[in-house]
Amino acid sequence: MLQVLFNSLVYASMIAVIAVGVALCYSILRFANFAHIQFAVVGGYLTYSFAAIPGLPLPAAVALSAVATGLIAILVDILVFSRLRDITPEGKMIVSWGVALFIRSVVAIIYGGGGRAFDISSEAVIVGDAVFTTLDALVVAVAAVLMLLLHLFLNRTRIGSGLRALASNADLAVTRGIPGERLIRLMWFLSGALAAIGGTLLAFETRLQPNMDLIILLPVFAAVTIGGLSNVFGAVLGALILSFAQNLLIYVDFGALVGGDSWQIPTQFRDYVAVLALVVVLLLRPRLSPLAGR
Amino acid sequence: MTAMTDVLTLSKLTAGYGPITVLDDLSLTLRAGEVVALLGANGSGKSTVLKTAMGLTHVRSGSIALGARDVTQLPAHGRAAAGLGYVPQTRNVFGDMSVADNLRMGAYLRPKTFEQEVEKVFALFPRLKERRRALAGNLSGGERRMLAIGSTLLLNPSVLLLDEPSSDLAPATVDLVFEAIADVHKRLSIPILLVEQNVTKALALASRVCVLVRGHEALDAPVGAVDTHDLHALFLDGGVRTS
Ligand SMILES: Nc1ncnc2c1ncn2[C@@H]1O[C@H](COP(=O)(O)OP(=O)(O)OP(=O)(O)O)[C@@H](O)[C@H]1O
Ligand SMILES: [Mg+2]
Repeated sequence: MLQVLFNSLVYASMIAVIAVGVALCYSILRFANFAHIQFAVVGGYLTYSFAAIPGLPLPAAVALSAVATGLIAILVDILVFSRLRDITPEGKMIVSWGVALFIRSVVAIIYGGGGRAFDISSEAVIVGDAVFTTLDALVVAVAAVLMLLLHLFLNRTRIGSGLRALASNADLAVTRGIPGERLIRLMWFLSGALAAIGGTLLAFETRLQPNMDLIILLPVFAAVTIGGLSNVFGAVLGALILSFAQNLLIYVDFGALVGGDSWQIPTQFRDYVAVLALVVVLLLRPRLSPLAGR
Repeated sequence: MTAMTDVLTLSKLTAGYGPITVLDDLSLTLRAGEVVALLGANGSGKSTVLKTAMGLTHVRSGSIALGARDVTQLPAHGRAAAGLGYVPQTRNVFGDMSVADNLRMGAYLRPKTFEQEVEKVFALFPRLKERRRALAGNLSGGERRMLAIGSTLLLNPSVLLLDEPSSDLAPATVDLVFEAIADVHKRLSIPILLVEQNVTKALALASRVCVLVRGHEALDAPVGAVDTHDLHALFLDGGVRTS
């Protein structure tokens, strides 16, 4: 059971760092941005490229990747979404699919189809009957620090409060002198940078592969949906709930539960828990869902 | 009056929302020291005038000047920085933020003097000080209106646009709000463009009255020169002008 908790925490950490960007974007621009997933992929690959620069330490490579991906996110806004501010949320959502596929193709052209792995040294730590690695601990710590910093930024700084005001009531916010468009750019930068770090952590734990986006798409959007989108930190809570549900479901020995032979849900079905959670939440709270529009 | 004293000039504005045109060739001037009451039937476009002055609508033609400066192309946040203070009719607080955060957003452009300035708002509306930790969305209607006005004052505006500051309030609160507006106008001599349903209250405060009929100005006269009957005719018949 402790193992389920560990696994959930590590998985939730990676998903949450990516998912908060979806929630940030939704809270201000009111659309589900599917292109966001690609920022995580781009970030992972960029970290890989920067890490290949001789003499550049890995943390610096991650930071560079975060900044670069943040700038790419701003570029996406300048080229695409800033021109579509007044169209419906559904329209923006569909455009975001197009952007996602475009970025996916660019990544495929540059990095090809093969998988790549980071060479991260990590040791196992045994706690009771459970195991986690030093890398796991690092992933959870990085995610926790990032979420804490984001929380402090949004709640304790003037500009962060300006972002909240913009999310709360954009028309009122600009009449207060809050530069709406500039803060929207900042929001894109933060989302992109966080996604890059989330994607990098995921690549550390697994490996870089061209279809990474499809692997994280459902969990990220399910987490944001469960979290309710109204609150950025709902995404964090959503990631924790989702990931715990997923890990618990594949951990429980259903065969033994009914007194028969041991039978567990095959691991590859884990992601369908995300689908199930998504459907349940859509049914229960359609108005809060990004997929249901406004 | 010379053009020098014009603080807000709307000239020949045609404006609306997306494809919808609401204001039709509207001109209106607010001069230094004045309170202008902007009256009109429901849906005649009063709120749209204020939103257009603030930069929240789509302007098809015409111009808007703040003092001598043309602000037609300036985005709303730039107009706020230039001194336009706006209290919207609805959705005029950040409901999911605290009272204190709302006030801080009012002072977004002047964060350094916030601590002193907010005390002036608390002096005007002591109730806000007691409620400063509450979520704005949980305030009563009267408290919310005070917060909306107080937040706007923190901008240190040189012109105020007030959209029905007394609507849906209990009579005692209406008096309180109007006293505060009169106080601000006298003490800081801020010119005010005031949209109001409460004609008696509005005329008591205003020096000039403008009546809007279907997005068009139907009357612009000093308060002393208008007959209340004419006003009612304009309101009810939408455009019948007898004087
Ligand atoms: N956001 C909007 N989008 C489209 N049309 C709008 C919008 N806001 C107002 N309108 C329309 O513009 C016209 C004028 O509305 P406005 O709110 O300016 O009137 P008003 O005089 O302030 O009315 P009230 O006395 O009810 O406040 C109305 O026909 C209204 O339906
Ligand atoms: Mg109105």
